[in-house]
Amino acid sequence: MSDVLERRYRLLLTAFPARHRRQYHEEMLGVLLDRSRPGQRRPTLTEAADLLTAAARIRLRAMCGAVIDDRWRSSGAVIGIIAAVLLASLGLQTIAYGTGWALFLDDVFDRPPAQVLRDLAWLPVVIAAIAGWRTGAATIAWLATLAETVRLADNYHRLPTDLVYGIGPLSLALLASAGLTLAVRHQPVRNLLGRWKTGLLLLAGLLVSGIGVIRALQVEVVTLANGGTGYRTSAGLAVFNSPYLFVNPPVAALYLTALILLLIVLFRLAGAVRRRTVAFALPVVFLYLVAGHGFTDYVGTAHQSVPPLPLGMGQWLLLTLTPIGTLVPAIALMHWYERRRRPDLAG
Amino acid sequence: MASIPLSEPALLVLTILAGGPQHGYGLINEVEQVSGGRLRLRTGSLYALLDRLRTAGLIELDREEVVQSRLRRYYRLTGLGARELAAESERLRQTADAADRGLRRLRLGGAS
Repeated sequence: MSDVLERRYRLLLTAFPARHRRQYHEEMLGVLLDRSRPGQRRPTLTEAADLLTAAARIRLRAMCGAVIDDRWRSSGAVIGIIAAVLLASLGLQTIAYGTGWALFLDDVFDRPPAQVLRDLAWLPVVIAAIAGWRTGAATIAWLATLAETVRLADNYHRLPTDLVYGIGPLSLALLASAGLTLAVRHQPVRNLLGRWKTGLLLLAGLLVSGIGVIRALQVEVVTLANGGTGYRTSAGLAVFNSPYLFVNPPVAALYLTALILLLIVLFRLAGAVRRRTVAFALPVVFLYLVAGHGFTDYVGTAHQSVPPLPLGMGQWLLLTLTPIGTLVPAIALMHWYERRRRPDLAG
Repeated sequence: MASIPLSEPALLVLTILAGGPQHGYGLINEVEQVSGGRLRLRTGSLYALLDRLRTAGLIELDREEVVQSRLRRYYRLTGLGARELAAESERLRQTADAADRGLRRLRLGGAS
């Protein structure tokens, strides 16, 4: 057997990562030489291409594995189901509120079927994810997210402020879809969370949905001075000294209880999964805050402007850079914390 | 562990190892035989696959020997590997049964 052929095979095998070489180098070389023809001096083109492709695949898999390890997949599954439950609950809340209006005051509130469908879109995602149908959950989630993106883009020219209101829920939908996609090749979420944590999460969702019923029950019918009928939705509001702070006690109590249940679920997760789940959630939380508080002047001006005032470059940058500017430092901080605590576990 | 559908080369390697431990060179030859010459594994692809199956815990090292001053390692199926193979085999059987039923109906429909 030619030494030249062995040398050339050895050279090709250097394309594999060091870990792989340590484990399989001599063995692979043996197989390659066993399979060579008598008098062969160089690797065949097919064999060389196969070795280089396999080496590239292994390197790529190692790189992806470092980024998407099981802890990221687990936190993807957790944040995916939390976001989906939240979106489904908010949809049900809107339906409950709308149904309340329709039942008591059928002449003033009639939601078109397309809107009802939109409100119900995340319910099958939650059902599929809990039932363990991971691919189905991720697919429906992406379809719902795509539909919402198209709706916001379509509305933008007529009603640009809709984007400011819709960017928070859209980012939550993106988070749910991305998280559920990460979870496709992972354990079903009910195995990951366990029965009682899944139950707590669903209970939190139920409480958020129930807020729609409370709000519908709070609607008051008032008789106007001219003998007509008016409707007041401010029942149950406690107005504090601050002109911007209104608290609806029953609604606030339900939201607070749901938040506590969610925090219990989060705190009962393994530390590494909890940290990653929070890192995933932070960009959406910040985007909600920025959209809710950073655009009040714009929304006020845009409503009075004809034609509608589009978002400026700075505002677009703020909306796009907020999630990236939150996620990157959150991940860096988490890695720093894990390296400091357990250098052997940081990944 | 959730069972994940296996690729055809992975299924063939597990099938061969279900018959007993085998080394890399032997696996390449047997894969070609079992697949009726349809699938020819090259050395790079085989070892990328073996590495993946070992990482997933489906196969493990059985023994090592040196033949003509070349290292030869034998691999064997683990318990998990046997369960995954059984699950995949069941999936394939169900698909084949469904295909048979469909074909029978097609033939009956064609005859009437």
